[in-house]
Order: sequence, then C-alpha cells, then structure tokens
Amino acid sequence: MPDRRRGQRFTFTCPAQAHVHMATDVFIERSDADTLTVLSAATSVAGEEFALRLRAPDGRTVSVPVRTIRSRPVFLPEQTVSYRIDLRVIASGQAGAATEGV
Amino acid sequence: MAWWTWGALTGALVKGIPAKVVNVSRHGCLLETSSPLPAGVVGSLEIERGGQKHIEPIRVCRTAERPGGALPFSAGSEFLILDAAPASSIRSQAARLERKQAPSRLAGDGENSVSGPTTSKASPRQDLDGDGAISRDFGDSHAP
Repeated sequence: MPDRRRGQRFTFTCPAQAHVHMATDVFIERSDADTLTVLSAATSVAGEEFALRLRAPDGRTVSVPVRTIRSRPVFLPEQTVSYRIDLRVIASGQAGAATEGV
Repeated sequence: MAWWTWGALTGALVKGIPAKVVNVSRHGCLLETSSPLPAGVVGSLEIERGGQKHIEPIRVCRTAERPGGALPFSAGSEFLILDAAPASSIRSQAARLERKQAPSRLAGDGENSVSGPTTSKASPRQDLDGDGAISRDFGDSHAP
C-alpha cells in the first residue's frame, strides 16, 4: 500500500468537526410556503433533512431547510426512473426559514 | 418576494453528513461517516477549526464499511483543484508539512539514496505549524 500513495498522510492533533455536503439537482414541480414537490434522480427516505438551495431572480442564493415527507418512483418518458419527493419546509414558511447563501 | 413565488424550475437538494477526518494529504483525505458516501460522488468538505470554517471540494474515490463503530463507513476522497488553496486550508497545510518533511526523510532515512536502506516512513508526532491543526505522518489509510 505505501508504494501506491502519492503523498504523506497527516492527522489532526485535535478532532476536527466536519461535514460532507452532497448536492442533487432537482426539478421543482410545485411549491408553497410550507410544502413543495420535486423530481430528483435520487430517492430519499421520510424524515431525511436537506437544505434546498434556490437561486433568486436577482441572483442571490437562498437555502431553505426541508424534511422529506415521502418519496415515490415515477417513470418519465425517455428518462430513467426519477423520484417524486414531497418536502416540508422546516420552520413552517417563516421569513427566517430561508437564509441567504454564498 | 417570498421564495416560493419565484417560479424557479430547478434547485439543489443539499445533504450534510457529519464526518471525521481521519488523515489528510495534499491530494485528499480519509473520512469516517455515519452513513455511506457513494464512490464517485462530488461534494464539499466543510471543516470547522478554531472558530473558522474551511471548505474543500472533494470527490469520493473509494468506500468501505467497517461495522461496529460509531462511524462505520470510511471514504477515501481526493481534493478537487478548482483554484489555489488558501493558506489556512488543510490542503495547503498538508502541502507545507510534506515539503518540510521531505528533506529530512531523504537525509535521515536514506530514502531514495544509495547510502542506506529505506526505513519506516512513520515519523514522531509533531506540530510543525504550531497551531495544533495537522500533525504527524500517518502510516496506513485509503486516502489518495
């Protein structure tokens, strides 16, 4: 194994808090203040939490915390299987539910 | 205007998975997570240290499952080079540590020289940057 490595490894002296963020592109079918439905190539399980990132007309990016209500497969013409996911906005559509992002 | 009235057709669902950085090199790092990361997936690694957040774009190269632990999934990932690394990033720190250790390894261990056999690459724990961030050479992992 050491012969296959390209570089030296180092460890942290203090544990570092880390998160891996993975994004999935979704098509938004319907949305209101509390719930929305999206089409995604990846499924989700009920209760799973995400940040829904949206681009505002003026270019800002906002992040809306959402939780999966249910997910079911759909078969779209000329496409592979997609999933229709119903999401509920965490914090129930309050003005503070969406936060501006980078 | 409220976000649900924008009529945006697309968005991105971003999932955050807590992770532990086991070790790091200037090419990538080894992560331990509570849920699996599919090989090939691209994401961003957000590390919080000293009150500051550092973000590195990564691609998961390989994954393994080690049942029984609190973080049973490990993922070897490589850094995606999209721009020059900030000085405070772990990618930059690992590169600096590697550069500092390279001369001593060649002279002290006889590595890549004709004067003596190659010995262990493991070196004593040290904190070259003095900030407790990244320390010693790590011996055995899956990171690139």
